[in-house]
Order: sequence, then structure tokens, then C-alpha cells
Amino acid sequence: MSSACYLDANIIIALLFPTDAHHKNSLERVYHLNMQGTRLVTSTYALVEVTRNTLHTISQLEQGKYIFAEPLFQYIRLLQNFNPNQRCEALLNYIISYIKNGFHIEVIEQESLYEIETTNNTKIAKLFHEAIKLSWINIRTKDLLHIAIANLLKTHGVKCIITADKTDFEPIKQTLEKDLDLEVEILTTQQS
Amino acid sequence: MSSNRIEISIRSLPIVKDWSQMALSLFTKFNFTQLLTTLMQQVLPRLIHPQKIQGITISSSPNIGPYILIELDLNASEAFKIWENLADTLYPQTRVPVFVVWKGEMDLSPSDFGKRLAEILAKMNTSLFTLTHPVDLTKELSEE
Repeated sequence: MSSACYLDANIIIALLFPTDAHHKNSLERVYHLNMQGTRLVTSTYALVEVTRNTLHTISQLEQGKYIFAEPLFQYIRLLQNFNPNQRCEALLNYIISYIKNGFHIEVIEQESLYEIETTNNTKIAKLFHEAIKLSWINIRTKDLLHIAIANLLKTHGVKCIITADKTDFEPIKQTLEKDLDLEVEILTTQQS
Repeated sequence: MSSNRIEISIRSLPIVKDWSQMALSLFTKFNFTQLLTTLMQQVLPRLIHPQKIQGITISSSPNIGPYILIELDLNASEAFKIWENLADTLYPQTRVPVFVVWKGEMDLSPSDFGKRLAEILAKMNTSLFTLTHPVDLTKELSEE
């Protein structure tokens, strides 16, 4: 199996938003890895973060915080015309298709992540059990879940995590590389 | 550059500030003319009855560059078929993104709309979430 890199939600968001501070770096890195033949994967958990964040951005349209370029604005309006659940479904499908067709990023879901394990007579999904076992790593829970997923997806060839979150990942980079054998690549801008 | 049925406007062309800008402007106008000719003579008649075309606008935006906007008197599902065809045939020749809007009903499911919109835009290297200003959403996400 060819090696793969796990993309954090922030990289997906940077790829989706061309004027994001991390867009250029993320795009260059993704194209380079595509050329090298390295597989790019992400999780459905990352999709939750990306969809929620994107929806949040769209919903602030009226306040004028974010202004979408013409003529794309018209399609954002169509998204807004859906009811809230439909809007999320439309966005989810947009994001899956766009990252697949635009950047060859594969969304991986594995039934094995949700196998029920038992500890102290209590049922627990393997993914959450893994996150708990890794909770000695000093990082926020949402990032810990990405690490747990990437660690479990080693069976899919995942060897590294690519993130734009320097603040949270820089302090634990060496730990992940030494103790979990997971390479961490932090994409930075000139400002960060 | 108009016919009985098709209204075409060319707007937002680059403002000429100096000679190099002027050259760019003329070059762009020339390209637009070529583009329009290709669109009108070769592509659209094969795809759609002229009566269904409400308008064609060739425009330019600082964030997207030159683009074509076609307004169709069709429902969303029919308009998407035309748009998919244009993204496959016209865009590779011109490298100018083409956008389709429709006057009829939105008869696509939300998931189908999202999926097909993404496929079309990805083919044209255009992101739906192109903003007119810089953002640092990564930073906002990490602060949540």
C-alpha cells in the first residue's frame, strides 16, 4: 500500500478558501504530494469541522463579515435557500466532491474505528478508546481525536499528519514522531 | 456583438492607467471576442435552443479574472446538464470559467446540487468560497 498523509481540517478549509492565509502553502504542498504519488486522506470527523466552519462563514454573509466574489455569490444564495438540514447536506456533498475532484483527497471511513470494545464492563468505540489511551498527549480534545484517527489509519498507509495549527501541534510534534511514529508537517505562512 | 435573442454585455474590463495596461486591455478585449465567437458559433447551438438563452455576460472580477455568465430559461437540472457540458468542452479551450444561472425551479436535491456544483467548479479550478478579501479561517478554527 502506498504511503498516505492525513490532512487536518484546517488544511481542507485553507484549500477551499482561496483568500485564506494558508491557501497558497496548502495548495503547493498538496500538488507536490499528488505529483509524488503520496495519497492524501482525511476523515469524516474532519468533514464535520470543515462543514460546520464553512456553514458558519456562509451564515455571516448578511453581517458583511465575509463577502463572496461575483458571480459565486449567486450559488451561495441558492445554498441559503435550502432549509438548515438540507444546506448542511448540500455543503457536505460539495466539500466531498470538491476535495476529491480538485485535490485528489480521499475521505476515509473505517468500520473498525467504531468496533465496540469493553473496559470495566463499559462499551466504548475503538476510536474513542484510542483517543483516551492517547490522552497523555498534551493537546485539546478535538485535535487529539484527529491524532487518534490518524494513528488508527496507519493500516491505510497513513504515515504523517499535515496541519496548519502551529500553536497546538508544534509542542507535541517530537512526541508524535518519536512515540507514535507519526510524522507531523506544519504548514506555516510568512506571518506565522 | 448581439443577435435578436442574445444580449451580451462586456463590462468591468481593465481600467487603462498606462500603456502596458492599455496593451493588456486590448489583448483581453481580443480574447473576449474570440471567446464569444467560439461560444456563439460552435458551442451553444449544439447544446441549447437559442430561445432558452436569456443572456450572456462576459465580465471580469479581481478575484476570478475574466468569466462568462450564461442565463438560461430552464430548471436547475436542465441548466446543470448544459453547464457540465460547457465545463467539459468550452473551459479546456478557453481557460475562462463559465457560470450558468437559471430562471426555473430548483429541482435538484441538496446533495445532488452540492455534488454537481463541486464537480463543475473543480474542473474550472474555481472555488465556490472565493472571497473578495483575505481571511485567516485556520486561525479562527484553532481558536474555537
